[in-house]
Amino acid sequence: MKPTAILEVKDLTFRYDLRKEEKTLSAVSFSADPGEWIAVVGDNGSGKSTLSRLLVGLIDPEHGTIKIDGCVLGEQSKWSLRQQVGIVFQNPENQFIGTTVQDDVAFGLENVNIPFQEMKERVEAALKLVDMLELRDKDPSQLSGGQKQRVAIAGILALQPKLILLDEAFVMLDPQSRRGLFSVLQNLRKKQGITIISITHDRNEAALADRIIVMEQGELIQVDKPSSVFAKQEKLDAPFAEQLRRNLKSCGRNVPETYMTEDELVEWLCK
Amino acid sequence: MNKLILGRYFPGESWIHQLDPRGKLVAAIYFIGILFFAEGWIGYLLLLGFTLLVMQMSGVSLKIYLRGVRPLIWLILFTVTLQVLFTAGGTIYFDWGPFTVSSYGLINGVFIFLRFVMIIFISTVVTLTTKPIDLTDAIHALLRPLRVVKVPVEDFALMLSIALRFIPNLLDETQKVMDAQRARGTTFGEGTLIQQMKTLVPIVLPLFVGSLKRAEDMADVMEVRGYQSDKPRSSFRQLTWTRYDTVSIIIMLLLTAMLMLVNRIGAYY
Ligand SMILES: Nc1ncnc2c1ncn2[C@@H]1O[C@H](COP(=O)(O)OP(=O)(O)O)[C@@H](O)[C@H]1O
Ligand SMILES: [Mg+2]
Repeated sequence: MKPTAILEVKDLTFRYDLRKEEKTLSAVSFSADPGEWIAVVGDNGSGKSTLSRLLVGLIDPEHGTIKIDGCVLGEQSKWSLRQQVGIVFQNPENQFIGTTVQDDVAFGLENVNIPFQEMKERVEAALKLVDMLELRDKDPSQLSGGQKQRVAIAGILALQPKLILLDEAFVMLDPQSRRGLFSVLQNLRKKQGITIISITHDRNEAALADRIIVMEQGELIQVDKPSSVFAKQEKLDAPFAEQLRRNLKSCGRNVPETYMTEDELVEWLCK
Repeated sequence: MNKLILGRYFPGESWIHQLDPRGKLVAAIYFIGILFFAEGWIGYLLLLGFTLLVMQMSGVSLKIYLRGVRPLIWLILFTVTLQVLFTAGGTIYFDWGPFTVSSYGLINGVFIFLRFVMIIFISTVVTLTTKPIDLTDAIHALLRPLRVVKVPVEDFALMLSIALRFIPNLLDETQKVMDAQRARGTTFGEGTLIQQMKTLVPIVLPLFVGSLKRAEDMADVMEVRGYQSDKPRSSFRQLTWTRYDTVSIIIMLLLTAMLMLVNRIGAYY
């Protein structure tokens, strides 16, 4: 039997300006299973951030429903549901509430009245995961953008949510720490069944997701496995392996017609 | 901006640095209170001696403390002058209409001057040796009883801590905007007052808009991270009261006793 979805979005419609006809999001529906990694891709202004803000109840939809862990998100339920959903926004500067790194990570725990001893342990564990433990006494003016992004992610990890939303949360990280954080999140997902929805412009990252959601002008135009998405969406910059395959093909080489992951391509090339 | 000493923190390991901010704050307020009970030379000398001792113990150089007095020096001199001119009594050295310079006036003037300087020194000791955030926590702890009469002490403390956290950002941004305007050919600090004020508009406006945007973002972040103003919160920063804090309070009480004694003795002369 299929596990019950952690997130169910149905017919979500939203407008910033009610006087205008034009919708920021129109009739978006999808669902996410526990432990799934979903990448959201789309051009600037296609409504990705708006979708993420709807999912945490910062703005209310005009139509449609959001169900988190079987419970409909609404005025009453949003406070308890937020304990299960963590979001990391684009701008790390304005996300830093505490005066120091560890204070900031602790902020969310203070809000749910976690006792001091447990709080200390969880803050330390979260900072260790994002490799910021040595810098825990620093204040934000002493940190780089990437480091602040890591602190923001630690703040979410400390809360141990079931669903994590990342809105271009990796953009300021160098490739190495990006890979590092990526594998940390992958591990959590495997061990604890956390669901991750990651808004990203990085095609190689998206290619590693279980499914990709493609947004265009407020509409969800495709939700599928990376292989089908990159095969169908010619417009999307393909990940490295797929680009190589396409290039080889256009040079007249006899390569397979369908999308290939990096591993598949390597295997085929070595034959 | 670097000239402002009051409100800046100088990291250090001194005894005073390590005191609990609550104890430090209470002791400082208490000291300022007893300043007003000093009578006569010996009393003032006692308190001045104590102030200088505390300043010495803080491990921060006297120069820094003097810089703290500088912005207020005109206010102090003005008050002292008024005091000198309007107090009569004792030997009169000079008399001109309502103004007199008398021995009482001069002595009073010196006392007022000392009192001012000691207030500034002692508050500077507190702010120089306590992290702003610890001070916020201390204020929070001391105001806590006001919760009974529905004062939102928690919100107030959080507000204060966020304001502190953003002061460096605001200074940074001011610098950036000023640089950007300079790159467009604006010169600051030249021309008539009106012209100078005009050059400030394109600085203040972007800063203001930026702050609004930031406040909005932060409110969102606080909300999604579960902040609700009417909910009980635990606290990650813990203040710990140690023996030294108790000792410091006892020292304040001893100082009071000594002052009383000195005042008594002074009365005989
Ligand atoms: N606070 C807002 N008020 C009005 N319009 C907005 C606001 N935020 C975003 N928009 C508009 O909504 C559209 C979608 O924006 P957004 O969700 O931020 O896109 P993305 O994150 O995919 O780049 C854009 O056209 C943007 O101009
Ligand atoms: Mg966005």
